[in-house]
Amino acid sequence: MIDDIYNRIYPSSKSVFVEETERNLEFILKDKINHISRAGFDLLIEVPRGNLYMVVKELKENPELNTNSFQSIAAYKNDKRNFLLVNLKSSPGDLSVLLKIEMPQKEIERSYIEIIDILKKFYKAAGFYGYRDKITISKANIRIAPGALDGLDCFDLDIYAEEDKIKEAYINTDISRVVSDEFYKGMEIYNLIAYISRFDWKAGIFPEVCLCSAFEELLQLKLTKRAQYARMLLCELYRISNHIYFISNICNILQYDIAYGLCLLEREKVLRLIETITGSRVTPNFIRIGGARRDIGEEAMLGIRKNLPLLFKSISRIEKIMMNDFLIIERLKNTGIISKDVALEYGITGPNLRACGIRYDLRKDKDLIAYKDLSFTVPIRRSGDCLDRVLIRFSEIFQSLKLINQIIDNFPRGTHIKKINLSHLEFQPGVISQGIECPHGLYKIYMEAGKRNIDSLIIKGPSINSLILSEEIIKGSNIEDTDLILVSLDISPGEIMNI
Amino acid sequence: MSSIIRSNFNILVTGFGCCKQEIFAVQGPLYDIQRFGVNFVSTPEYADLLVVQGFYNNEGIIRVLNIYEKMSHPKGIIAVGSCVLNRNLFNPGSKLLNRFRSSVKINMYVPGCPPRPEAFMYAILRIINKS
Repeated sequence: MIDDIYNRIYPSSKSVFVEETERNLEFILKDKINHISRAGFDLLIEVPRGNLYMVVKELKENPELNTNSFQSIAAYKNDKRNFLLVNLKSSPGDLSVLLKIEMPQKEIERSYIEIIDILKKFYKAAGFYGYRDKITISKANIRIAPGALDGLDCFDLDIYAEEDKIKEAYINTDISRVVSDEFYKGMEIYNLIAYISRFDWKAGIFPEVCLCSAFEELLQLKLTKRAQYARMLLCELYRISNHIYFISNICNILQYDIAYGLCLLEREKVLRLIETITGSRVTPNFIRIGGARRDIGEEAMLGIRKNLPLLFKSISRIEKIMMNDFLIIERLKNTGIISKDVALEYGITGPNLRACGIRYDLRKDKDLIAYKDLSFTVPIRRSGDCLDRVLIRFSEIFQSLKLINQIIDNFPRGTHIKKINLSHLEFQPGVISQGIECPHGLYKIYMEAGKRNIDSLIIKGPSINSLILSEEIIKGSNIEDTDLILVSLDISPGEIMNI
Repeated sequence: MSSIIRSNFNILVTGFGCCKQEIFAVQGPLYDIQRFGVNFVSTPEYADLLVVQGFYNNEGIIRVLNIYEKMSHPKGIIAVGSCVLNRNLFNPGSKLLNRFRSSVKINMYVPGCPPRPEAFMYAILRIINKS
């Protein structure tokens, strides 16, 4: 009976938690903040620049709040005013706060550096966004340009090494800045949905789902069950495709041609299944506001059902081949170890975090699409080294295959979309923060919407945190392990584009 | 010379766009571009063909042109994907293609977003047969 009451008033226990935390924060930070409100499942706190130090200190050191994870910083403009958005998270626990700080019109750079200096005192990862000492040309013995190594194609890496051990590393992302922060201005919504999959091209469905979910939240639009299941099906297929691509990249570095060829073969099978549904392999352009572009037919379902056991068998064979070879195990074991504390501090999410031993999966913890209808466990590993990052992805592939089986068995009837007129859209003006569990981690979109258009849009992928962390864990490792560590973090270049 | 090119043809792929995964998919057993003597390399000195794909800013364009200069003759360049060829979000005003065209002669264009692995393979085989 209590569940019914809660389910009628609140969609989930998490929203109860968020509402209670909002009241607590309002009490704790009452004089130091301008305003606190809910933006999706995050809490948006408007902080005056002068009180930032006290607010961050309270959030970090209060044992009830304990925001120990630094997620991201983003600068944006809205209505000729400049803002900085800082995302902090508490882990374990589910508090995620967005600090919105207004910057002055003049001396923006100076106030930006001051804010970063304040954040650096509490979070080491914030230092990446501020001024960092480059390794001078005389000191850096190795400069690796993009493309020279696998896994290093969207940033430069300067290394100072002594006798094969790396002492200092510096990552330069100048080459990856190809898109302006305000690329969405003047863009039609259907164009934006079509382009957004390029921002995570290894698993293109996730940015689309995240963006459309954010619009649906603003429009207060509830999806049909069939549309939700179609989205879940594609998400899991793309997850499998991404993880197989990851494993193939690892095999390429280890020069393990047998497994490399087998991985590419299996990936082709998955991409062909995706193609029967969406018509495209990599950039689907399939999700729409209100559902999906078209219905998933019986033939596509039959094809997926026929191929599931074959995929399971082939990928188990690849895992067996790799893990029975002690050379592979020796090369991967104890390389690029990430401890639990470091992973949390740098805001790592997704399989990289689960490989360190922290059981966090947004599909389990939030009411994401319709994952609560499916039963699955969240696999974790213990050591946080490259071997664990590979094994966790094998586990997730098998988990996704089982999820697809459940989805197909219980695929509901109904329509695949709730048709809306995109040219006459009217939102409730407001702020929304939407996230999704993509194969690299937590993919987030923050949007401020006016009545008819988007005022500001921030896309933050999890690869940015992995990139910042890679600079830290490369130090102390051998030069020959650099490409292995970078690839094992699964950095998607599309997410670095608007860092 | 043409028999040397036919038995060993090295490709260097620059850029970090979506086309990269479709280009590298041709190494798999389903497409198996290596049976035509085509290999992927990482250094410009060994490369015969430069593949330009994906997103570039000004610094990226300068680097690609430097890489092309370091390649030894005979060499070629192939532009793959909509990001380089057409006007779009990452390439407003087609400035990328015009910038490349003003400095180098592009041997082949492969349109698509991204082009299928079969399309890329067809382009490579046409270049090999032409030479």
